[in-house]
Amino acid sequence: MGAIRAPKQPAVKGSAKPAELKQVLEVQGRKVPVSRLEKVFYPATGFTKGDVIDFYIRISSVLLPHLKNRPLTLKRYPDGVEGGFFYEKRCPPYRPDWVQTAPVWSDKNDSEIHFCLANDLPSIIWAANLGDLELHTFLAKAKQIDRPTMLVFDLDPGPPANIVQCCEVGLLVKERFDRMGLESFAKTSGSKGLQVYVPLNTAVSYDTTKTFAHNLAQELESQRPELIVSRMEKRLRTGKILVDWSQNDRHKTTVCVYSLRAKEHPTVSTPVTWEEVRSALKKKDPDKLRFTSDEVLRRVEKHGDLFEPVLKLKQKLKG
Amino acid sequence: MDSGESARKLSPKSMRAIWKGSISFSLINIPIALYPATRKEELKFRLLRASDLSPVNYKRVAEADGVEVPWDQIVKGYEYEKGKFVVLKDEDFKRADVEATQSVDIIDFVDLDDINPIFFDKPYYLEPEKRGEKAYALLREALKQSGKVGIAKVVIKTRQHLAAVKPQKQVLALELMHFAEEIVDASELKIPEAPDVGTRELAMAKDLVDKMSVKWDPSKYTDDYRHRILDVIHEKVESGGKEAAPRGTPKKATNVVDLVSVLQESLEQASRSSGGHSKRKTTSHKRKISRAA
Repeated sequence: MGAIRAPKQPAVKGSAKPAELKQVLEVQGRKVPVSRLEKVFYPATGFTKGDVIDFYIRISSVLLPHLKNRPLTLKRYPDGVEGGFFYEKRCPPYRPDWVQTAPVWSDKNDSEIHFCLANDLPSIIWAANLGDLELHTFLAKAKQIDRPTMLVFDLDPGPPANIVQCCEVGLLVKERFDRMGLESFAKTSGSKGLQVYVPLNTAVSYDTTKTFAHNLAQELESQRPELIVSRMEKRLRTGKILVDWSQNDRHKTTVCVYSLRAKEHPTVSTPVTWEEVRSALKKKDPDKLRFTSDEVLRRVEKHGDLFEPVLKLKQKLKG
Repeated sequence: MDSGESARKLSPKSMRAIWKGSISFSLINIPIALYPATRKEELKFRLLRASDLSPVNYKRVAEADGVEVPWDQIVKGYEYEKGKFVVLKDEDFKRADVEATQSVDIIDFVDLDDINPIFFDKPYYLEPEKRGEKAYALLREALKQSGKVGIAKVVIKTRQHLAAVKPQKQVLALELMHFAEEIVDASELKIPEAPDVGTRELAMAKDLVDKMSVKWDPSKYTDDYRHRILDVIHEKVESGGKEAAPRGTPKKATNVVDLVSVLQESLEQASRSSGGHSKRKTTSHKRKISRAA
């Protein structure tokens, strides 16, 4: 009752819908729809959506192996870094049929959620076109979702501490693993902090990695309480580095290496050598560990993929 | 027609049960489903941006930094001191009273006439589930014939309510009630006691009331305000409604074909340096995308 019915004549006079400006990119035999490539996503530098896609194309050869078969949570900035963002776990149903997905059980929803997989370049471009600036992946692969392939420490600085202090902590973490005979690798988060990855690529559970990481974080905290915290409360963190061990969880995603970040400038989560970490600490210069998209491409040309061992090296946690 | 499935109306469930549980008292347990008994007939308006009638949406943003927070990152908290919270999860709510979830626990039966209508708040309907029909009908008849209602406690959406199980013709209704402590004491209001008036005035007042008396007929009263608004809406639609601006109207037709070819070029280069990385000079390519725009 009370339903409004429109009159017979069209209610709107003379406003035809403008033609949709859609283009198609031919990528490895697939037609990837792209739109509004000229839209500025990073106003501080004028970096556009087209530039974002371009970066991902050019970094794809080193990026793809790290994304392969890892469920991806999209972090979409449809209006660029100054607009809002939203996370999307369920792979959008309107995706092209060649975008692969992986089912992951969600206790919260009491059902499976199909996550996107960025297993090839066309899929990355499709996601980037949706404004997925940042690539956040699980620590495990889809087929063995309960088996993390690495241990991760996210070192997050509480202002006024910055990445320089993270370097000091990162080296402490590395030293611990050195003593256990395990290799570790560092990358910038692309934001404020540093991340230390310990490749495992062997049979291990999240319970093991999480407990191990928690214990290590607490140990470090008790040794250097003026520098390190292991708990999240913001008020504890002023001037200290949070050793975030809680990322080692089957529900959590971590930003993938070579991913752009939605910061003011198009900075990238970049792998760095331990020499570079020591050098930044010695010189107390945070800019030594800040890389934008162009800089990362140059580094990759020069050094190749510094993070390749994180995928290949097999190590076992002891104790 | 046998009892059981066929006795129940196979009505299309346009009404959705709020929960399924049971009426319980003494050793009796009657499985039921709870349905709302009222429906709000409200006109729904949408907020629109004036310039182009684009619907305006709401986002949940964190106070700390203005960043949008998705539902899966939101928890319920209780502010026990300014700015200090304790978080309560679903398990915590369940823990508070494991027994009182999804059941109408009748404590006493009282005479309906004894209850001041001010206590009644919101009505729901109870529908018997399978195997409960007989007990349901029995309870209903017993209440009808005795003029009594069951006073019960029930938890709906984490809140406990006082309620009356009341026969409403063929249905058992669950009338949510106010707890006595919820009724505000009217003694604070300035109310005169016995009127300072003469018998004649009182007689005139009673006469007036008498003249305006009719038999109670609820259908006689309708929401005229709502009807008048609908009339205004009809008028506007007839005289030419306005369509919202289509989404994502591009500002100008930029030389977009160029951008695509620039990207295609990157793709060629990327695939040419197979297995490795883009080897050409990155600097010459810098900002090429933006400049082509």
